[in-house]
Amino acid sequence: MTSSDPSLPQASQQIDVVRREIGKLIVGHQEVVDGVLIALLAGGHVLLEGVPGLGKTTLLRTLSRALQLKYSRIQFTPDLMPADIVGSMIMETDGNGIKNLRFQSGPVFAHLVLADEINRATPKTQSALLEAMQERTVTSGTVTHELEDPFLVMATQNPLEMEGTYPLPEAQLDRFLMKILVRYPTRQELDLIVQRTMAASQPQIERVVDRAQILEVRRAAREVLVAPHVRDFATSLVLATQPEQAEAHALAKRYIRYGSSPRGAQALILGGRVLALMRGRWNASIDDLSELALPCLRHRIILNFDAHAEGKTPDSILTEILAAIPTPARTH
Amino acid sequence: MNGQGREANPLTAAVDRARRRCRANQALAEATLAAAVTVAGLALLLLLGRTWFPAPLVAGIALGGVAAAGWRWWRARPSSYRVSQILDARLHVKDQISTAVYFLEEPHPVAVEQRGAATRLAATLEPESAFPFTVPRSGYALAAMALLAAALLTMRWWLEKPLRLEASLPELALRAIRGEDAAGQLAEQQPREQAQKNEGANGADEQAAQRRAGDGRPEETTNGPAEGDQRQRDPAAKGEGLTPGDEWGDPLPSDAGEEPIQSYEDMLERDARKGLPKAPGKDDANGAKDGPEKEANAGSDDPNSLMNKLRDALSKMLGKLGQKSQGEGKQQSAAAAAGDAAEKGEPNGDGNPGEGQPQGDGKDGAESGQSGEASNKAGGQQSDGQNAGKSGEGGSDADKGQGAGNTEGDKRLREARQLEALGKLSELYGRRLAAMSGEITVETQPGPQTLRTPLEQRQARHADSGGEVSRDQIPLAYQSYVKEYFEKVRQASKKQAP
Repeated sequence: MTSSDPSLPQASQQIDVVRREIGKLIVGHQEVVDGVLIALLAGGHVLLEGVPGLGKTTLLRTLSRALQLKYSRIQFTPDLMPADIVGSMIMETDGNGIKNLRFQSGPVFAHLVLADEINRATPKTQSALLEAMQERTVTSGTVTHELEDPFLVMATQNPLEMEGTYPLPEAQLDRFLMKILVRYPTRQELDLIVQRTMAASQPQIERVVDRAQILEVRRAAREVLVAPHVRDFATSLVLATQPEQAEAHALAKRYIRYGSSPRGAQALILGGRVLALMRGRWNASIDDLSELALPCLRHRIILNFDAHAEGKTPDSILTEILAAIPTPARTH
Repeated sequence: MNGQGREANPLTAAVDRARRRCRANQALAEATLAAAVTVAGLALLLLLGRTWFPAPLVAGIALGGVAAAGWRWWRARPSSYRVSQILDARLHVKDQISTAVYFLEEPHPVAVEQRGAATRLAATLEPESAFPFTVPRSGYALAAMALLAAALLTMRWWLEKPLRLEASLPELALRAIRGEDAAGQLAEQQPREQAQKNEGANGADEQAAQRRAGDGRPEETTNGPAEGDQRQRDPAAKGEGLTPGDEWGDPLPSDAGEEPIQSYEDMLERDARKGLPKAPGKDDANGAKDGPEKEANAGSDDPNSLMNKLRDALSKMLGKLGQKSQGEGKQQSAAAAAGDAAEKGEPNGDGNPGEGQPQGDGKDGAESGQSGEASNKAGGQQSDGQNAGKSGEGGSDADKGQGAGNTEGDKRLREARQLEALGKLSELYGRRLAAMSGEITVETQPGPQTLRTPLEQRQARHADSGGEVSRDQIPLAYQSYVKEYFEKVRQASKKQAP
């Protein structure tokens, strides 16, 4: 550990401060808030799916306010072009009257990018995000521009109103560290939401953590220890979803067309490390990985026709697979 | 880390304690398994006897079981890391102990900090609670084996007293069924009784003298060793208690005017002088061929003997089976002949219940003569023509349920009546169906409809219905599956319409 690395209590404390700040405005949805923070600290991206009005956009906007980071929002529409996201070359005349081409960076050049209703844009536009999300670079013409860390794409999509939408291609889905389902609030949460939003004054969100602190916590998360049996659990889980593998679960062979890619195992380990850090531990555990299995893997498996015909969902299949993965408690 | 360091560190101490308990549990399980194997060997010995399963083999099996259990225990001994994983899982400590154990030698600051946290946690843990002593699965195997061995021991004890473990249990059972058990028991008893006789000869003399003096008259002459043996085995049969003087070793009282019998040889000599048949004795028991048979006959004199009852029951059962098998072939013709004879008023052949005629159930062999007479009477009654009206149905009502032939005839009649009733029912049902008319209303609940038709099972024919499905009605995510579905439907319809 270097001198700049925060101690464990310090890192946990910083994460807690951010959570509390978000909690001023966002009621409930703790797993969604945690998921977004995990994605930010693990260096991934997050896809939120839920019906309109559940506070997806508000949550991401609040997060960007709580962190002293550059934030941009892109409303995806069918006529949105790739250049509208990554930027374009524009003609510029200098003081001497000489015209030059200059790269005008698009909204993707930010720390936190909110891609609202990402499935409304055409696949061509959606693909413009691919390079940015994976390589953290943007190529315009012959010039490649690097994106600044931290870079988090928070995309939302609406499961209803499917007319005129373009489902995200599998390659792009795989680039999201987690897919989080935003559910309806409970009765108490709904009551609190109504109270807060109908009040005369809205709570003010303060910037509690700056970019340097976030990068420090992110480095600390990378140092969290992962024992071999915990790693083995992640590997077994991913292999169990791949129907062509010998270790595949029976449900995977029956209902899954394509299983999780190796990115699924990476996401599990990375997310598990951050979750352990958030809970004040320097080691990831099997419980941490199990908790993140659904958000990390549900968008990485593609079901076959039988699964759709029988009403199976990725969550139901993954839950059963998860229960069958051998752990020390189960095998002894 | 040296031994003292391990003991001083609460983390490693906790893991060591857990490991010891874990190994103790494994040792218990393996020991139980070895015991189960040993008991299984004993059960085999009890089943097969020493003739087929020599006793040293049991010792070999026991040694093999112990060796195998030891090897399994040694091979399955868990490492500290493995034990700590189980400890973590059972105490719900989020893999902190196992991670610390794995990175025990790691000098990285994060590993050191994590180890420190795990050490503090381990100091508060009770590792033994993660590995409680439980009944291993092999314990159930041991219990089952012990139960089996106990059952075999009981069976063997019942068949041969005392336990010699020579012959196999099936062999003993066969002997018992054939009635050779009494001979075997007698053959086994006689050497022992000979020894008792030698030991107690002097004392018995005195007791016999005292009895004679007490009664004031000479005792009655014994009926020989066979009866003595019978009385010994079943003292209640003669209504008197078993006295020590009744044993084989006692000098038996002789007839009036004769010398008292001092030994078994004396008794044999006396019987020979009187021209009595040779009673079963130790010479017969030791004999190769005729001894067991004779003693079996001697044993069969006792009507209350368990083996005699068993033998009688078996012979009756075999006799009935034989009669059934013979009677079934000729049952039809015999019944018909009997019916004809009854109609004509003619006596039935020899007057006996012949083959296919009803036989009396529940009558033992001793009463067979009486049953023969009864059947003669029955034959006579038939010959009188009193049952002529009923005999046309293949047997009289009075005889129903008393013989195999009549029962089968009843069954056939019942089946015919059942078939007739079924025919009427189906006729009624058919008429009702022909006159049935009405409307059917099917109600469906509104709501999101999902595609749930299993393609192979339902044989769906969407292609034949000519319906169109608009692209916009299907969610985009499911369009590929719907397309695939209709492709399969089209392929199926092409196959079915050549």
